[in-house]
Amino acid sequence: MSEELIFLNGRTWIPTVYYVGEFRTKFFEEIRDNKRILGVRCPECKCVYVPPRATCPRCFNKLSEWVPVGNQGTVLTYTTVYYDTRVQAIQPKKPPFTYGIIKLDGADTGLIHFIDQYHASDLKVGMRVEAVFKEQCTGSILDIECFKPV
Amino acid sequence: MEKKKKPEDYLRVEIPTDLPYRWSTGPYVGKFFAELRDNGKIYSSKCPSCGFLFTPPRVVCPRCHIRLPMWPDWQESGPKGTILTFSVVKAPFHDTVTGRLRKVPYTAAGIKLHNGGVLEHFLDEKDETKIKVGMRVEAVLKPREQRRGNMEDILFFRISPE
Amino acid sequence: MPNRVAIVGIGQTHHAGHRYDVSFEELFNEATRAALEDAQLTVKDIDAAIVSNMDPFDGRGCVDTILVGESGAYLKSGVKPQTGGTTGGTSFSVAWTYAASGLFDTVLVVSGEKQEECGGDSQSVIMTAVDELTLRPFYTGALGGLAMRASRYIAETGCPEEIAALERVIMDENALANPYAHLRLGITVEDVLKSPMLIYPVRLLHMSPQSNGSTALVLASEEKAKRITDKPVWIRDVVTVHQSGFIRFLSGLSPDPSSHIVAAKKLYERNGITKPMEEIDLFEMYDPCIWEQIIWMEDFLLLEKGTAPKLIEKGVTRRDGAFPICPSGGVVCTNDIGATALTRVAEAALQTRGDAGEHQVTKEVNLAMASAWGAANWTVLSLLSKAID
Repeated sequence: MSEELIFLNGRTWIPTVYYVGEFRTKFFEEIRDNKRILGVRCPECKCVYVPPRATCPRCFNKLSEWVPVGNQGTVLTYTTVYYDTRVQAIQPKKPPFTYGIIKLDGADTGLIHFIDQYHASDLKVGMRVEAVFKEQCTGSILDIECFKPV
Repeated sequence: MEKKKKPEDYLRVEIPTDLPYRWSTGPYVGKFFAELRDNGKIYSSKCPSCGFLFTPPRVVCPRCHIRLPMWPDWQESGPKGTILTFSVVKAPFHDTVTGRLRKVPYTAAGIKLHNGGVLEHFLDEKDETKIKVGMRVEAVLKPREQRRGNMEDILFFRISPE
Repeated sequence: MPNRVAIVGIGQTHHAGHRYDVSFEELFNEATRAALEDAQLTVKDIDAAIVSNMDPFDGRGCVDTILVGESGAYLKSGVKPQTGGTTGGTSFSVAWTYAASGLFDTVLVVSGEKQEECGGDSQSVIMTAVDELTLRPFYTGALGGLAMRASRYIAETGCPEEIAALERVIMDENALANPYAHLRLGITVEDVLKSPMLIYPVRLLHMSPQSNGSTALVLASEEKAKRITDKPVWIRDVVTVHQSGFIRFLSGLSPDPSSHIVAAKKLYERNGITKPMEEIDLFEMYDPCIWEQIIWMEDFLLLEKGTAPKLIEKGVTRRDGAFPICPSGGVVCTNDIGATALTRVAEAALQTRGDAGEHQVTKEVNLAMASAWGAANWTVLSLLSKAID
């Protein structure tokens, strides 16, 4: 039977706001005020977490040793987005754009951020990149504009 | 304790959650909406096992786990009914569908339809001192050209004069 | 037959109006550490962790990914249940099942909520749980269902507002004696009667607040429990009953008894309880609205409709009464949704252990009951006991 299909259009709109917490505020303030990236080291397993976190998930120690990790690092992996979903909540930029996981010098974990290069032939795993900061910083991960090849 | 900081003193990230949806009404509720829109009729379906009436009709009776009959094995219900319970909403809050504050006051009620099941809808009366459980009401529909095939094709239920 | 399981560690954060000083997972970490410290255990002793909240209340979905590191669950077994307001109770039930199965010895369960992160408008978030096709335009989140139920109860029993106000003041007195509670106001019956009407008949002071906080428990199987602590709180039974999520099935409008009544009957039958008000010593009820506390007293205790108001007037529900209800202040004083149902169990356990401090009930506690409820009308009912059998 060819019955008409009825659809209802709807929307979920919630004014969400996420509090950074006093611990991680230090990380963002350092980026905003000094254009410097910090990690935090676990006294037991010596793992340096970037972005930082208050507890080491492996050892459950409360973390407090801040270490500068430099603004340069190596690309562990990357991808380029071509498909436009047209949904604001999902895509931060208009495609095409590239982002990847960058291991900053001195860090043991990877940081996800945009990489300023979208021609696939120029991008390479293992490539060296450097953080590019915005002129006006507000204390957000997007104070880093992107990572550029060195 | 250190001095009290204001909320704005705490670092935070504002990312409104804004996700569009498109819901399939399915053959049961879809047909219910189509009949409401095209013919101004409200339908209910009855469970052949326990006799419970569902408005709008459902696929399965949750009590008996059996499939319920499809249209035209439905019964025409209302437009008259009785108030089973009601509540007058006075505090505004964000309507997720529009992202804006919902206009208040408005009255939501559970209405037992004549020859039908229980339906939630608005009442036109917004003063709780003038509403009583048990009062008779009647559905007021939008004019045909304004009906779209959703619950708001019924404007509200009007309290019948004594 | 399930193995015996006890609660050996209890921890909670101070439940507050705001916790801007921590991020979501750091909040859960506080409760986790508190519970582990209470049990004198470390993360290494935990075999599995059950973590939960009511998403998307904190503006996040799939919060297990964020919580694992902070709740001792890293590279371990566990699961993240989410059942709306019932979440804390369901999490407790799952943790109990894990330990009672004999597959895990020590299980951590941590639930919480950081409601301020949905922009302070949690009712709009609850709307996403309401049927979009037929209910959403009319509903006011959880308030809608609560108000409709109360409206009908008043129509059927003529229960005066003064009873609700009286019980709310009793809850406030309990909260003032509980340092972990959120709302500790020092209000009078007058204050409640004058409080602004939100959605008839529910006034602002009738309703639970939007809290931020977390609660955690450590559960252990019999052998382990006896070694960990000399004050284990034994989990006698946990019953879960689901109800269809359509308002047409809410109490009074449904041909079937509410999920609370079904759960209570099952719990009493399974545990040989014939006179609940006499055999059980206190009840930490999940009461999101003071009206619901009155209505559900009748449901859970299998009383005749309209009899609860008289019991309240006689002072039966007070901390020094014959059947204390929510000696912690209950949900009307503290509601960090994901944690709330687990906090009911935690408070019932504290009372059973005799460790509730200023808000300890005056009578001796041998059997304590705790309930969980969600807007879809699910019930989780738990029975805790001091003695192992």
